[in-house]
Amino acid sequence: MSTPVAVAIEEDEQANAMPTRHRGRTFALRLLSLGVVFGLWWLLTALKIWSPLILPAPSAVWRAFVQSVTTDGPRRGLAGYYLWEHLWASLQRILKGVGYAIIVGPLLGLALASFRWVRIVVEPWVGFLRALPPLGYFSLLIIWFGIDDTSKIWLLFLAAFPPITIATIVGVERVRTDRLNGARSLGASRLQVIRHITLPSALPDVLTGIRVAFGFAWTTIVAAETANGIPGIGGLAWATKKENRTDVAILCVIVIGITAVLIDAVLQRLEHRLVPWKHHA
Amino acid sequence: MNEANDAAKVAGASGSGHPLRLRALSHTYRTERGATHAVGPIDLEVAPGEFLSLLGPSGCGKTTLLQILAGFVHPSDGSVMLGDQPVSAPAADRGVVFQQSSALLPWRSVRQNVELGLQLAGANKAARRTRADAELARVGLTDFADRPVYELSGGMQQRVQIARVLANDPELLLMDEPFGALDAMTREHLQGELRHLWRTTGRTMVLITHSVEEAVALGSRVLVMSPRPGRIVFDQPSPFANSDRPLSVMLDDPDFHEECRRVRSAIEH
Repeated sequence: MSTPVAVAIEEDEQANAMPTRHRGRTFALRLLSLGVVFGLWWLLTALKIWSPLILPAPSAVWRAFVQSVTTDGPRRGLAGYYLWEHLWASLQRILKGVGYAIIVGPLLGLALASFRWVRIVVEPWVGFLRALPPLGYFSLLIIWFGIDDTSKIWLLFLAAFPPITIATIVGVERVRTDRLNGARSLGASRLQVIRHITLPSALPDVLTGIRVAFGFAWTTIVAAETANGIPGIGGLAWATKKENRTDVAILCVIVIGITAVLIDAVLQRLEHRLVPWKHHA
Repeated sequence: MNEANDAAKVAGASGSGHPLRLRALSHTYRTERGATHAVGPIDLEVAPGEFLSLLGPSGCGKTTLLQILAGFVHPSDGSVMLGDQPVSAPAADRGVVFQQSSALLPWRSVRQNVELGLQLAGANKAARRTRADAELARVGLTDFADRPVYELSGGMQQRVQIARVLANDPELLLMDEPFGALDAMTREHLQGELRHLWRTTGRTMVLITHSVEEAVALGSRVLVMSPRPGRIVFDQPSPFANSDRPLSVMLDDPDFHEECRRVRSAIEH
């Protein structure tokens, strides 16, 4: 299997197989790598090799950050909104788009995995949609749903549900035959098997699919906000090119990156809470 | 589900049970690459309360036969009757203990796993709990009732499997190498427990095993199947099922050795 979802599921399993004693060292190395990059950045700007327009100093990016959270006369934050307002606008779009995908994705995945004819008819379309770069059909969505949030939420939904659907199929198909047969020989009806065995057994994979979907949606929203995306962290990043605000552009990159990492960390925590048996099944 | 029904489920008195009858049973697996005659024809009659040990070379169709008895596989020919009911699908009257504990539900506690069958049948919470706790006591897992199953050792997980099947009060217990994945010590311990369970519950049991000693020590009747297509080539009562001696002690008994030798030669024949 080489779908992104399958890869994510496998990577996930490998990451958790890492012995604990290596984790401290890994963390230290990562901290070191962060320090080296920051040091190089500072050094390059201190040596004034390039103009600040190409590479602003860390202090300039810090000033942009301060601007983004303060008011100064007529200026309110950046592009008329505070940084957290930009971020929250993007997050809200994500939560709506992925939220709908979390409702539709598992149901569709279950239907695809359970009924052969549904699969024959629907699966190629899910595969097709998944293969498309979401921005490729964004124009269509804008024409259909307008330039406001509706088209963006549709975009996120369409980007997010295929990975969840495919992860659900993987999860349903991985359910051990013994487990299904065991329940049947304890008297479970077909519906009871789905409710008590199949769905909970597939939950770890569904959650992995949701994590993949959030990641994919996040990269998509930042790009989608190039069209009427203020407030929005992607919209802010895109707007910097008009005023050559390299400092704001770098600030946005950092904020977008940290947010992505935080979203994934929150989802991983949630996963551990919801499916503590994941690595024991 | 009404109270009387729940009460009947909980009481779970070992009824007289029904005979199991296999008539001209035969199964052929058909795949794109052709047909494989896996089992049969087999004619067999099992009286209620018998403990059948089923031996045979790898690939002889033992597991297929067990799956037919469980109702997971439809035989291509012949019939299986439990009393006057034809066996055609899995049902609560035939419990199955699998070799792998992955048959258990890792998101449920030990007790909730044992309650599954009763829950599926619609028994109320109190009745479920009473019965599950009784079965857990029977297999010595009372102290582990609230633990998640994945925290238990392999041997304990197999006990959970046995308890969840017993909680359902099946007529027939089907076991496919239930101790095959366990270490020797645990295995011997559980063999003793299984023998005790058979005597105290009076259930009809079918045990598939690779171990001749296990088959002879536990079974009241030992069956050996031929290589594929599997047929019954040896079918004799074993006198050791009613012995109180542990398996390790039995190994020193020349009579036990002689019996094992006879069974082994039937397999290698």
